[in-house]
Formats: sequence, C-alpha cells, structure tokens
Amino acid sequence: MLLEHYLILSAVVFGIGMTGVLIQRNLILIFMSLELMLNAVNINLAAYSKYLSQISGQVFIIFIMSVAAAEAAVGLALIVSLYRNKQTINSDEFKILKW
Amino acid sequence: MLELWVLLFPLIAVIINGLFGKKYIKKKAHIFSVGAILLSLLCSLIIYVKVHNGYYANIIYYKWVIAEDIVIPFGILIDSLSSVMLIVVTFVGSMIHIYSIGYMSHDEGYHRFFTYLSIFTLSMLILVLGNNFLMLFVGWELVGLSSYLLIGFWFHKESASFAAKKAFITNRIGDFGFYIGVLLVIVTFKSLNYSDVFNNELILQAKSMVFYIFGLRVNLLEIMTLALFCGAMGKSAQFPLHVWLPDAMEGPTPVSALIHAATMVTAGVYMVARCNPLFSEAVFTSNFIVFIGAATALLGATIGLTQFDLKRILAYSTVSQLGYMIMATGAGAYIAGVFHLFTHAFFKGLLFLCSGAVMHAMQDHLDIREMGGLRKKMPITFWTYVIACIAIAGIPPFAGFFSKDEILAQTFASGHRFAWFVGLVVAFMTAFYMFRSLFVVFFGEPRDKHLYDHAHEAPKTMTIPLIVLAFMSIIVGALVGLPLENGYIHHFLNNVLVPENLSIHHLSMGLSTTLMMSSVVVALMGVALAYIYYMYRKDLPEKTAKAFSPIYKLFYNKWYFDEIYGNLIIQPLVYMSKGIWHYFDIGIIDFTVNAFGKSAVFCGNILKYLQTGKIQTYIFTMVVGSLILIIIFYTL
Repeated sequence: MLLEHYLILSAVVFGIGMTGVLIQRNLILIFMSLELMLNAVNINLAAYSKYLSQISGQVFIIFIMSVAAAEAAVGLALIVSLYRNKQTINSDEFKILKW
Repeated sequence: MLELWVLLFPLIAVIINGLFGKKYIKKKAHIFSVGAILLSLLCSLIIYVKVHNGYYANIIYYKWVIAEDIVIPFGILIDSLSSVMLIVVTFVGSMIHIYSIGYMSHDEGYHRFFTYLSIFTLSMLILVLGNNFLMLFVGWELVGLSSYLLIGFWFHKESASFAAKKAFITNRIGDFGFYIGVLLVIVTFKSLNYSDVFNNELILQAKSMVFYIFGLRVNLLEIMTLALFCGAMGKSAQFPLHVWLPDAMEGPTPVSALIHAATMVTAGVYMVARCNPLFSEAVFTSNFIVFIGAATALLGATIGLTQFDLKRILAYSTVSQLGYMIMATGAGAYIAGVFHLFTHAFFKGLLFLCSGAVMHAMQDHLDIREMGGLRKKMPITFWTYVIACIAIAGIPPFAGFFSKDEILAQTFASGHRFAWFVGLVVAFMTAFYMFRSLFVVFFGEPRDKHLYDHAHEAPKTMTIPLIVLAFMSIIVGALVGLPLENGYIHHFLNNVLVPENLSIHHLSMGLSTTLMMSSVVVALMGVALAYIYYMYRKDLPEKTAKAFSPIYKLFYNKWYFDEIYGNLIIQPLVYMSKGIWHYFDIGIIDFTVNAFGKSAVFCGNILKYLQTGKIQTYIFTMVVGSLILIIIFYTL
C-alpha cells in the first residue's frame, strides 16, 4: 500500500470527526468525534513513521493515546457534572459565557 | 578647614533637627541650631582676624562640574569682602536665633522653625563663601527656597501662604535674569570662577563686543551686567520687583529680621559688590543701577511715611535703605554700599526684634494706632528702639550716620547730583517716619487700655539680643568708619572692591563738610518734624493728609503697585490660562484623547456580538480561519 492511501484514510477520518464536532449538539457525540480526530492524527503519524523508517512517530502515538485516555476521563467527568447541573447534555444549553 | 566648618555646623544642625526634630528633639531644637550658628560665628571671627592679618584663601575641595574645558569646582573664597559678609550673617543671625528661643517658645512647629533657620543660614553662607558663580547661584536659589519656607511658616494662614508664593515667584523673575547673566558669563569667559572672570583683559574684550538690539548699540558687558542686576533687583527688593518684601511680614518676626537684616536682601548688594570688576566697566548699567536705587529709596520712604502697621513701616524702610546701598554700588562706591549693608544689618535687625517684642506684648496687634505709652511698660525695648531709630536716621555718632553720609557724599562726588538730592530727601523722610513710629508706639497715652494693661517686657532670651545689637548699632559705625571716607573699612576692603571714585578727594574740605552737615541737618529736621506732628500738635497729621489727599492716598496704597501688577500682569495671565484651559486643553487635547477611548468603546460594542458563548461557533470560526490560511499559504 502506498503512503497516499493511509493519508487519504486519515484525512477522511479527520473530516468525519471535524464535521461531527461542528454539527453535533450532544456533548457525548462531540466528544466521540474529537476522539475520531485524534485517531486520524495517529494514523497519519504511524504511516509516516513507517514511510520514513523513524520510530519517533510511533512514540508520539503512545503519548497521544495516553493523553487521550486522560482527557477522556476528565471530559466525561465534566459532562457528568454538566448533566447534574442542567439535566441535559445539549451543548446549546451551555452558552452563558457571552456578552 | 576652618572655612569649611563655617558651612558644616549649620548643615549638621539642619540634618539633626530635620531628621529627629519631630519625634525626639521637639522643644530642644534650639540647642543644635543656636549652637551651630554660635560655632559658625566663632569660626567667622577667627577667619576675620586672620584676614585682617593678610590671610587670603581660594580653596578648591573637589571638581564639581566637568564639561570639556569648563571645570567648576566646589570651592571657598576667603577675602575681606566674604569675611565681612560672614560676620554680618553669623553675628546678626545668632542674635536672631537666640531671640527666637523666647519668641517661638509657644509655637507648635518649634523644631521646624529652627530647622528652617539653619537652612537659611546655611544657604546664605554658601552664597557668600562660594568662589564661583555656580555656588553663588546655588546659594541664591537656596535662599529663595528657605525664604519661601519661612515666610509661609504659618502656612495654615492663607495670607502667609500667599505671601510666601509671592516672594518666591517675584524672586524667580529676578533669578531668570540672573541665570541668563551667569550663562553669558560662561559663554564669554569660558569659566565661572571669580578668579578667571575678573580679568581685566577679558572684561575689556567683552566690552568691545558690540551688538545692535532694536537699533540700539550695546556691548556684551552691558547685557551681562544688566542680566545679573536683574537677579539683584529680585533678591534685594528693588523697584519694580520690591513688592514681595513688605508681604514677607507674614512670617514670624525673627524671620523678618533675618530676611531684612542679615541675609537674603543683602545678597543682591553682595553680588553687585563681588562682581564690581564687571559693573565698574559697564557705564550704562551703572547709571541704570543708580536710577533704580534712587527710585527704590524714594518709593520705600514715601510709602513708609503713611503706613500704620509697625512691621510694614520697617519693611518699607528696608526697601528704602536697600535702595541706598544699590545706589551706592551703581555710583561706584562699592565700599560705601557694603559699609551701609554692614551697619544696616545691626540696626535693622534690632528694629525688627524690637517690633517682635512689641508684638509679643500687644498680643500680636501691629497697628500703631492701638499702641502708645509703652515706654513705661517695656523700658529695654524702648531704649533699644530709640538707639536703632537714631542709628537709621543717620544722626552721629551712631552707626547709620557714617555709612549713609558716605553714600551721599560719594554719590554727589561721582556726579549723580540728582540721585544725591533724592538720597537727601529720603534721609529726611527716613528720620521722620522712624521717629513717627517711635513717638506713636512708645510715647503719649495708651490708646487701647485693655492691650496696654496686659503689655509686659519680653523675656531675657529676647532682651539680651536687643541689648547686644543696640550696643553694636552705637559703636560699629564709628569703629570702622572713622575717619570719614577713609576709615578702617576702606583699607580693609580696597583689595577686593575697586577703590571708589577718587573724586571724593577732589571735593574741597569745605564742600565735603557741607555735605556731611546737610545730611545731619536734614535728619534732625525729620526728627523735629516728627516731634511736632506726633507729640506737640497731634491734629496736624490728619490735616496734612487731608490737605494733600491724592498724594497721601497714593503713598498709603503703596503707589498702587499691587493693583497695577494685579490688573496688568496677573489678571491677563489668569484669563489667558483660563482661555487656554477651556479651548486648547479641554477642546483639543482632551477631545482627541477622549475620541480615541470612545471609538474603542464603540467598536467593542459592535464586535461583542461575535462572542456567542457557543463552543461550536468558535470552533467553526477557527476551522474556517485555518482553511483560509492554508489556502492563502498554498496559493501564494
């Protein structure tokens, strides 16, 4: 398989993730879309790591995965907390930080 | 080292009193200040004796200002002129310091007062001792500052703070001229040291540099001396800058004595005398000085005739006596001018201290119409006041006679006949108004029974200085002024001051005797007239005032100087400032600055709606922005 294939896959996954973040109203779904974007980056890094025969890309993947795990823990906790406040996880309900 | 200690003692007193006065020293502040000035006096006397035996010193302690080839040192010059000034400042100063112990004893700001007194002494000593124009200028400004502090000592009184400001600002006007003069000196002579500047060749060179200003032919030396004399006009209260001196009465009485007798006002005379090599070459300036001096003498005396405030009478008599001194220096009689400065310091200091004692007894009432008959209540003050009056009136053999006679004779001899005549008239007026105040205050019946009953003689700390100064007022003139026109002081000072117009010796014996007799006769006439007016025919003063009503009003209102200045200078300035404030400051500067602020607020009000609070809006903006950036980056 060529590098391009991996890159196209990565781009498509990234695009799906970004679209999800932009159009979803459910915080859980936004969150999942975010994870999708992170994984798209991981694919990209893995592909280049293989292509350039350098291990550092894969090291980054490990970092990103661990950060993503931590982030998921914090993010889910926040969502739970938001739900307890407003009895909803619709993102439009949380727009009090404005003029 | 002795020379430096003269300066260091008051400095130490200033530091100690200034730092620890408020909390720790309080009512003991006089120990340091009086001790310091007495030690300075001791040093000055030793220096005087040394100078008498031919000592001369031009000591440079360090190089203060170095600018390429111009080096201005911190140095002290000891010669006969500065030693005479040292004696005046420290002797009269220490009497005033001692007097202040009694006079200020109940005042809240006791320590503050003595700190200021020491600053005043220190600044005057710097002015007198410096060996270059920069030190003279520093002392000059410091004296202005300390006079401001002392005149405004009772700053909670509105009149006192106004008087302090008036003195300060009026002096600034003169100092501006003085500053220009010093700059011209540095440009012309490339140095500020007296020893470099007073060089006949360079002075003649400066004299030969000619300019045309508004079609008038003037040389550099004339401009320089005129500018320097501007400073003297401010400090020595010469017409038209004399207005601050009478208002300086708002300060405590010892301050008036210090300003009028020992320090401050003598600075101008000292400066002109010190710069005599410059002034004696500048013919136009000298004539101008004679004119200003004579005008000031006449102005002060005429106003003094009509005042009712005891301290104001004395203040205007100072103005008039300063006019004499300045007139003498202008006529080339520098020694006579300094001589009069010397004698005047003693009897004028005495007069002011007496007025302070009277004020003390009369519970701060100063109107002579409320006094009367104090002779019995305050014998010491009375007798010392009599001595001072005789001295200032110029009746032999008291101090004032010798110096005043010399000034008149030498003004006559130098050819300024009109100035001499004015001087003679002023001598008559001086005798009249001094004895007027004497008769009204100390003789006759008490006019205010209540005040009279509470009057009492001043405490010892106040009367002792009076007695010492009175003693000096009697002997000091004869001591240094005999034989007439050729006395000790002439021999003492003639190595510094150019020997005055020797034409005095061309006057025949008969003529000089006539001149002397005329000044004595005129003074006696003044005394006699005052006696007739205020002891014998008490209805005459009012009748005279009515008969010459316009002139009397002119004199009584001080020739309307305050009103003229107020309407011609101060009011236009105030209006102009108000106009600039309203139209330029508020209309243009404030408007521009406010417009910037308001436009920022306006833009912010519109743009604030972009902040929706929705996360997805922000992310969308960010994504679109990144895309645009990527497109720009790859297409360009």
